Amino acid sequence: MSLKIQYRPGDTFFHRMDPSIKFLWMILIVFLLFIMVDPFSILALFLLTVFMGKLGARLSFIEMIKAIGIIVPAALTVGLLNLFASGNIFYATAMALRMITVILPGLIFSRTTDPRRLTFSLVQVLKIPYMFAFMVNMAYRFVPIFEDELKNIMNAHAVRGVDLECKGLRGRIRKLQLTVEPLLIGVIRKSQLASMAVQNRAFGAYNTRTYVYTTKATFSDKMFILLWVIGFFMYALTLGSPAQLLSLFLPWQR
Amino acid sequence: MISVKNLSYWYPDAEKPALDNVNLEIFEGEFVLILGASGSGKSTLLYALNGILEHEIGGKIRGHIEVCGKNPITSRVCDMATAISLVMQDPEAQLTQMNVWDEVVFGPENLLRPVEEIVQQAERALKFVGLYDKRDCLVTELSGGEKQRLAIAAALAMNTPIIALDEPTAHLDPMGTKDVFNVIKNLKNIGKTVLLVEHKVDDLLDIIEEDDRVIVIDSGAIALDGTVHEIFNSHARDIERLGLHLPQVVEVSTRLGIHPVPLRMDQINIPALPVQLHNPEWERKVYDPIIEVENLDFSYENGVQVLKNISLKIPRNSITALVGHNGSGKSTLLLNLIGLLKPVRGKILYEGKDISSLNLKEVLREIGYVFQYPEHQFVTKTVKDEIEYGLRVRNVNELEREKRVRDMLQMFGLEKMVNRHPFTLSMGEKRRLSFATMLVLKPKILIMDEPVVGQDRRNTEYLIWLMNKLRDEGTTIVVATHDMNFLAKCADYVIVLNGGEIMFQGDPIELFNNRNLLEAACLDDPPVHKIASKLGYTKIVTVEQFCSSLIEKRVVR
Repeated sequence: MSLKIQYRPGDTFFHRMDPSIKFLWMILIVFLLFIMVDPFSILALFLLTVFMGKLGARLSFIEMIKAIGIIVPAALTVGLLNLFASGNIFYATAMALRMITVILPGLIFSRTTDPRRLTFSLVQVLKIPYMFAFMVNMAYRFVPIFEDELKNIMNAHAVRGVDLECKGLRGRIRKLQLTVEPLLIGVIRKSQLASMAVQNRAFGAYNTRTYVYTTKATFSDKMFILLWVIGFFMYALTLGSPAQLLSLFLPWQR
Repeated sequence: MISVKNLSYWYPDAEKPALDNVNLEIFEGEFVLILGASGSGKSTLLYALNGILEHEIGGKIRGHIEVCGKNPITSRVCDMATAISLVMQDPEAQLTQMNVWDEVVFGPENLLRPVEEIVQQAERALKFVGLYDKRDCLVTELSGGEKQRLAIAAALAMNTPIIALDEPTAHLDPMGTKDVFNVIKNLKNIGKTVLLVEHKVDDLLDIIEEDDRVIVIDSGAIALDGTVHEIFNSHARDIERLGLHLPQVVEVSTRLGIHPVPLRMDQINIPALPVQLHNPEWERKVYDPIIEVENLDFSYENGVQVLKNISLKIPRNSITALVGHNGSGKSTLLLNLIGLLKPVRGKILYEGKDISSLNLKEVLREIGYVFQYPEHQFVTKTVKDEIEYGLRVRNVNELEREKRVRDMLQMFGLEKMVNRHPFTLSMGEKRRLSFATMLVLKPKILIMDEPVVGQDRRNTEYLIWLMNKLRDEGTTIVVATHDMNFLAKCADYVIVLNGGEIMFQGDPIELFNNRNLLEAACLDDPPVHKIASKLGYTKIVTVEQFCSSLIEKRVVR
C-alpha cells in the first residue's frame, strides 16, 4: 500500500475552489502555524484541517493518517530534541504538532487541484508571468517520462552486472551515481527538444497570450480567503501588538 | 516558397560541415520526400529552415535561406512559427501540455489569435487527424500513433503554409504508422507544402505519387533531386549504394529490369504460376527449446495485467522474433525472461531449469540483453572499460580479459576509439559498442529489444549479418520488433503477442500467409510477399527470394 498524493478528480468544495485561492489558504496556514506557540491552538487548527479535509475535500481518514504517518518519525525526533534542549514540554509538543499539521493542507491541495487548472489560475488569477507558469507545467508533465527512463536505465545497468560490483550501502550509492549521467543526458536532450517544440509553436512571441480556457476566483472563493485572513489577524492580535508580530517575521529587526 | 542558396552549417565544435553547400528551391504545394542515411544531415536541413539550428543549437552558418519571405537566420524562432511548423520524431518530447485540447490551442494562443478563431481551428485540426473524440484525454493516455497525430494537429492549428515532418513514424508500430501516413496524405490533399523525412519507404508508397519530389541527402549535400518517377527509374542503384532503403516494388523492378518502375506491387506484370497453391500444408517442424515458458501471468504493482497465460518455446540456435504492436507486452515479456521482472504465476524454464531458482548473476551468465537505447547500458568512461566491465565484475582473469576485449574491438571495428567516452560515439558506434559489451561475455542467448527502430539500410543489414553469424556460431537470438521486412529477412521462428496474449508461434512464412491473424494482431506482411503469394509463391517473403525464384523458373529473364 503506497501513499497517493496526486490529483484525484471530484466535485467537492475544495475541487471547485480556484487553485490560486487554495494555494494562498495553504500559505496562510503555514504562517498561522508559525505564529502559534501554544500546543492547544495548534491542536485546534489541526482538528479544523482534518475536519475540512474530511468534509470539504472528501479525504478518507485513512489517507490522512497515512500522510501524517510519513512525518511522524521526524516530528517525534524534533519534539524530543526540543524537550531535551529546553525542558519545556509545551514548547516541544507545539513543535511536533506543527510539523504534523502542516502536512494536511498540502494533502488537500494536491489531492483536489488539477495541475492544468493550477497553471491557468496562476497566470490568470495571481498574474504570475506566463513563461514561468508554463515552464513549471511542462516540468510537471515530464516527471513520469523521466521516472520511466530511470527504470529503464536501472534495468539496463542490472543486466550489465552493476549489482555484482556495487554491494552494500556504498554500492547502492554508487549504483545511483551511475544512473545520473545517462538520466541527465536524457533530461537535457528531452528538454532541448521540448524547448524547440514550444518555440515552433510561437511560445514567447508576445508578452501576453490569449486563453481558450479561463478560470477565475468566484465570490465565495474570495469570501473564503477573506474570512481566513480576518481570522488570521484576529488570532494574531491576541498574541501581541502588530509591531511585536512583525518582528516575528523579520527576526533581524529584533 | 523555400529558397536555399549555398547553405553550409557546422555544429558547435564540429570540423566537418553537417550541411555542405546546399542549394534548393521548393514551391508551393509540393510534396517533398527527403531520404538520407543516419547522420546525413536531413534533420539538420529541416531545423535550418525554421531557425532552430541558428538560435537554439548555435554553430556556424553560411549562405542564404528564405522561407515564405522570411529569413530564419535573422528572424526569431517564434516568428518563423507562422511560416513553417515542425513535427519531430520523439512523440513524448514535443508534446508539452497535459491534455489533447491544450496541446492544439497552445500555438494559436501564443500568437494572440482571438478565442473563437482558435477554437474553430483546433476543432478542425483535431477532426482532421481523427482525435476530436479524444480532445479531453490526457496526452499520456494516447498511443504512440495518436501522439504523433496530435503533434500534426498542433502543427496544423498554427495554420502555416509549410509543414515539415522529421521521421514522425520512427517509433511507431505498423498500425500507428499507417494512421499517421494517412493524415500526411490528407495534408498533401489540402494543399500544404509538405517536407517529409522518412525511412519507411514501403509504407510511403501508399501516399506518394509519380510526380512528387524526392531529395536524397548524402554527407550534408544534395545527392539526388527529382520526381519520384525519375529517382526510382534512373537512380534506384544509387539509393542502394548510399545505404538507404528502397521500396520493395522498386527493388524487385530494378533487379528484374522492369521499366517503367511501378509504385504498386500489383502493377508488376508477371504471369502467375500455372497451379495456384491455395491451402498449402505447413510442415510441422520439431523444435528443440532452450527456453520454455509455461502459463505465465504478469501484472505490475498497480494491478494492470500485462501478460496473460503465456506459454511458449524458444528454439535453440535460432533467430526468434517477438512481434506485436506497441504496448502488446513485448518488453515486459523479455524482462521476465531474464528475471528482472517476476511473474505472478507460471514458470520459465531455461535448459529445463526453473529460472526462479537462479539469481540474476547466474541468469546473466547465460543470457545477454541489448536494450533499445545503448546509452542506458553504459557505465564506464571509455570504450575499452565499457567492454571490459562485464568481465571485470565477474572476476575473469586479466589475460583472458585482454584477449576477449581485443577480439570485440576488432569484431565491431572499434579499435580506433578505445579511449573515447561511450556517450561521444555516433549512434551506429554506440549500438556496436552495446553489442560488444554483451557478446564479450559469450552468452548462449542474446535478447535484443527493438534494434532496428529508425535505422537506415546499412545499419539494418549489418545487424542481420551479425545475427546470422552469431546464430551460426551457436547463439540463440531473441529479437523484439515490429518491422515486418526485418522479420522476413532474418527470423527462423516467430512469436506474436497481442494484448498480452500469445496469438501465434511458429514459422514466419505460416504467419505471413494467415491474413486473418495478421489483421487481428495489427500486423502486415511485406509487400513482396503480397505479390508473390498472389502469383502462387506462398513461401516467398523477401525480395531476394522472389527475384531468384522468378529467374530460376524462367518466368522473367
